[in-house]
Amino acid sequence: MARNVDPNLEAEIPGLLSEDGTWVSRRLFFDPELYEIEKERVFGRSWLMVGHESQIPNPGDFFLSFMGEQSVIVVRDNAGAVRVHLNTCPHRGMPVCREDRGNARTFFCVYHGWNFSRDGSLVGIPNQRASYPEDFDTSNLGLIAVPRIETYCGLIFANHDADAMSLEDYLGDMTWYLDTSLNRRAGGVEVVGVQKWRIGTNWKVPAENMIGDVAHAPATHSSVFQIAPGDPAAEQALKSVLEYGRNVALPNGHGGTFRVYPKDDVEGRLPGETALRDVPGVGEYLASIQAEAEERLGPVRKHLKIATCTTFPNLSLLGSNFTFRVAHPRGPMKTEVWSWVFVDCDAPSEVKDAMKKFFSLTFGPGGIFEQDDGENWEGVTYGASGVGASEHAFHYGAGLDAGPHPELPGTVSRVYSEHTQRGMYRRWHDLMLVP
Amino acid sequence: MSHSSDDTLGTAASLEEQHAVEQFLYREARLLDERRYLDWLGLLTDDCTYRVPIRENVLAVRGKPPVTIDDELSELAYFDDDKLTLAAKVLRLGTGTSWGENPPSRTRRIVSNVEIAPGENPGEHLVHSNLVLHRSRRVDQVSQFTGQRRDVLRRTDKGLLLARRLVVLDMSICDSSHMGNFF
Repeated sequence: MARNVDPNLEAEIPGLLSEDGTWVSRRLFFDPELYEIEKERVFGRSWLMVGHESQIPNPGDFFLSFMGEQSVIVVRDNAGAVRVHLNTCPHRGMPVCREDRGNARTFFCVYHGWNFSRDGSLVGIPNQRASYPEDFDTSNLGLIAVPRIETYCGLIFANHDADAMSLEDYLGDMTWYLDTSLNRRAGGVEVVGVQKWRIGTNWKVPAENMIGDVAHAPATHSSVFQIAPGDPAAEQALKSVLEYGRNVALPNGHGGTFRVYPKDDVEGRLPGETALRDVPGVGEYLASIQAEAEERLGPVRKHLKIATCTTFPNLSLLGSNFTFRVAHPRGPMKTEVWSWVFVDCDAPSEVKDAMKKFFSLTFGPGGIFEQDDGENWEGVTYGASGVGASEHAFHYGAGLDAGPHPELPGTVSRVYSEHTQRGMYRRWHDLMLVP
Repeated sequence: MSHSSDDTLGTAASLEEQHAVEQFLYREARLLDERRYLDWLGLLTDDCTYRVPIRENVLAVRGKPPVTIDDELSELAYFDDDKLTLAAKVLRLGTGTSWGENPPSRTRRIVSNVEIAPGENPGEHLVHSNLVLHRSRRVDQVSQFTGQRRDVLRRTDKGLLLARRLVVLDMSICDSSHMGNFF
């Protein structure tokens, strides 16, 4: 499936990153030729998160999602297994699913009427006997299945590469951190909805922002901290990142910013923003699940909370805002963000409602944080692409002193560091170097 | 949720009250276009709720009733506010560092198709209207949002005030990095 790449372009790939990873070519953020290569070498080989099992509890439940630019149907079959089919009729390519989610007995192509079961097999062609011989073999005319599907904490990952390493190996120690949001309670989490919006930026910009770019917060989000002068909740939220936050880079390009609260810190030890604790019932709920968290996660991770993190290539999770999201590529300078909002299955309904509202207030295109992120991410992409400007690489040299940590797996530094971003671009580069 | 009701919409208000409701909506639109957000907050009741839910693609099933607008509304919203959170958003716009709105967007709200029915409580109107929000940002960024507003307006000693707004958007995805403007 590998396409031939112009040898001159191929020869330029090694130089896109400096040897120590501190200089990254601006071409990564706007170049249409690199984008075409990336579709195969990055998105054709990586584990891509497509959604959550709680969205499809029953046989026939489905939702549409994307792997890169490829539309896929995620469906639970009659045996209860999760399937991921390419959303394209094997006959002429028409999408066989044209609604966002639902329950379907079959997937029906509205062009010529071919009909497919939940497991993807072709179950009917109109006028089949008039068109084909009686012993016509339809077994190779089913929906195209994505060869690898594996799950972690209900997150459904798919991979176009049949020979890819297992999801468990791919995620590695990332699950040690992701567990603190997704596996805190025995009942797990459930999705309450998905926000979708488009940003005029390259997909790597939101991914690198959430892999550990704490340095943007004071400037980008100044307005949020300004409207709460003297508000201990707002001050505590920022302080908790600066003081307790650690940036952690992991193998395979994953990483993030994680808050490790001191064990005697009463204010900080609860998961969930301090601001949320003022909502009736939420503080009590967060405190009430700490014993269960300690039992499940142990004494270190009981006090650990994800600020933001990115699982390579484009899955991010914001622990205090109850969302995981994917930055779907939509061309070299366009990204479609899907932000799934999740809550603990066993939380009381008023707590779930408060968490859902807190997400909409803070993140997504209407959120008081993310509006200004979107403005900056578009600016980065626009600013990267000019003639002259595009020849000058971006500097990713902050935090060269990252190293091991006694309690945290990975390479660890304070939060004003770009070593997690360097790890992400190294992984991208490694994949791009292999034809 | 406030449903459209063909039986009652457009029949309940006197010409005078219809006129007052329309003038309220026009004034509100002008205050927002003129970025007079604090004045706009003054048009809301203290218990005001304000929601802009996500709208999804839903397929009609053969043999079952056609898809209604309510079938398409997700329980998750882009805006899920009360007066306190709206006030926080307004305060933020005034800081000078809300970069997505600084320089500010140039907006134009067109409100039309105003229909009035009696509300659930005495002194309240259920008001349906159509909204076109046209927005120009920076040099050449143009967005257009259209939708149906389902409002509850309440007669108070300060005149008519907005007690509830549900905005039914016509798009299933937000084609903009930024929904920093009120609908």
